Amino acid sequence: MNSLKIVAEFAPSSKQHDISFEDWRRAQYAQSQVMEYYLRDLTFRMGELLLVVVNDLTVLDQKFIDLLTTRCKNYRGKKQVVVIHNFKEVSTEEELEAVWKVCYFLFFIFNFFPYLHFILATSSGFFYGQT
Amino acid sequence: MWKKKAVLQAEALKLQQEAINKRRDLEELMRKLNEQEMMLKREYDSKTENNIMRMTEGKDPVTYDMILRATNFQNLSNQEVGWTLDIFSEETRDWFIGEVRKMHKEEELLRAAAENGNKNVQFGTFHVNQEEEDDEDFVLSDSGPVEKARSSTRNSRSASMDQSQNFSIVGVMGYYDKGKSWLLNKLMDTSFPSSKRLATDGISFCMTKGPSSTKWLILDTAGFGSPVSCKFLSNLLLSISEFKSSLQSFFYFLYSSLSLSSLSLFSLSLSFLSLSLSLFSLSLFSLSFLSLSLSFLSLSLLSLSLSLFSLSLFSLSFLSLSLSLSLSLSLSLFSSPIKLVSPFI
Repeated sequence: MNSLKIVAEFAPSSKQHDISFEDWRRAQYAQSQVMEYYLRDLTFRMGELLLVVVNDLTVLDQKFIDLLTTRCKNYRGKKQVVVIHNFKEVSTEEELEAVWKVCYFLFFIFNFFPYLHFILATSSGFFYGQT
Repeated sequence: MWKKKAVLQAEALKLQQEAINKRRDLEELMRKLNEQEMMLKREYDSKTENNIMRMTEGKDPVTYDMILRATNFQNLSNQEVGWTLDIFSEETRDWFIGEVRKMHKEEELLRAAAENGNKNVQFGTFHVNQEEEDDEDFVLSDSGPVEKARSSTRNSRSASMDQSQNFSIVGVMGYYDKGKSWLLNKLMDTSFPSSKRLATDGISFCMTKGPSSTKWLILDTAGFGSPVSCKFLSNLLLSISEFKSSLQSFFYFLYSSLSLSSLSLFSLSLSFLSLSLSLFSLSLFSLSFLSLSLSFLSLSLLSLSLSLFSLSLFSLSFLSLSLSLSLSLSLSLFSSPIKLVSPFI
């Protein structure tokens, strides 16, 4: 009942396989993740200046920036990284300051990543940078 | 004393009432102000959004020089799900061909090194580091004979690149729906398609000129963690939507062909009326004919006259029917497209 007869996209040959829907879904996720990592690696290798765009600094972003620092340290060539905080949903300066205090103050005290940080609040149209 | 107290109490009550009224007015004013502020904010947001949309969607959608789409890791040759590379400009194409040639030379050097020395060398393989796997990420291993040989060639390559390459490469990375293309449009004065409805494909290359005639090769990437697009399901959904749209268009055509202007409607109603009249006259004629055939002498004259009258009525009604029908048909077919909003759209 649970099995589906479909042409598996991830298979090298286009034969029909009897696979469960769960397996197929998992394979799809794995496939997309592998391709994502590959493209990420490609951009890292090609790019001399790397712009990392974040909204609110989530755990995923923090992890990614940490990974990037380690990769840059290990890399023999020259790489420059700029983190851009593009606050999409922040419209006033007060909101921005509040968000900044809550999210990033402790982060900067411990000096997690020593990159140039550039804040950009979109709808109100004001910019200011912090190093 | 009592009177004064009563007067004072009345004044105090009046003052209290006034204060309450004023407070109520103030509250109403505040509410109205808040509403107005919200309205203005919404208007401003919509206007800015519209501006952004206009800025990005009004221009030519093919703004990239080269787009590398990669959805499948193994089935490369498949045109639908494999890798595709669309090149739109000659400059980027030349650069890319040069890079590929360099990579080929590098690979040949590596192969020669592997054949001479270590035989356990694999090309183009990825190794997952256990430490990185815990962080849900994986990198190329930076150790082994291949990597050493690669680093030596890379150094030589970078030296040659500095001489030939007269632009710097900017890579943009980040998670899905963070406004990467929008930001590039703002910073680099480009016009990449960016909106909530659009998503960047794979790695999109674009050559632009920065300040003081410096050249940038921008790599606009698809965001990490973008939703997995299922080819099978998306195709199914697409076919459903196409079927729906075709049905819609069919119904719209029917509706537009049937929906008539006032004149044609009038003629149609006239035709219906004449039809009913003709039917009535026919029945009358048949009745009169029947009575004539039965030869009721007393009724013969009357029936004759009635039959004649009914015949004339029938002929008239038939004529009017044909005329009105032809008019309505011609109006519906040759009239200008009727401005009616279809209920299906």
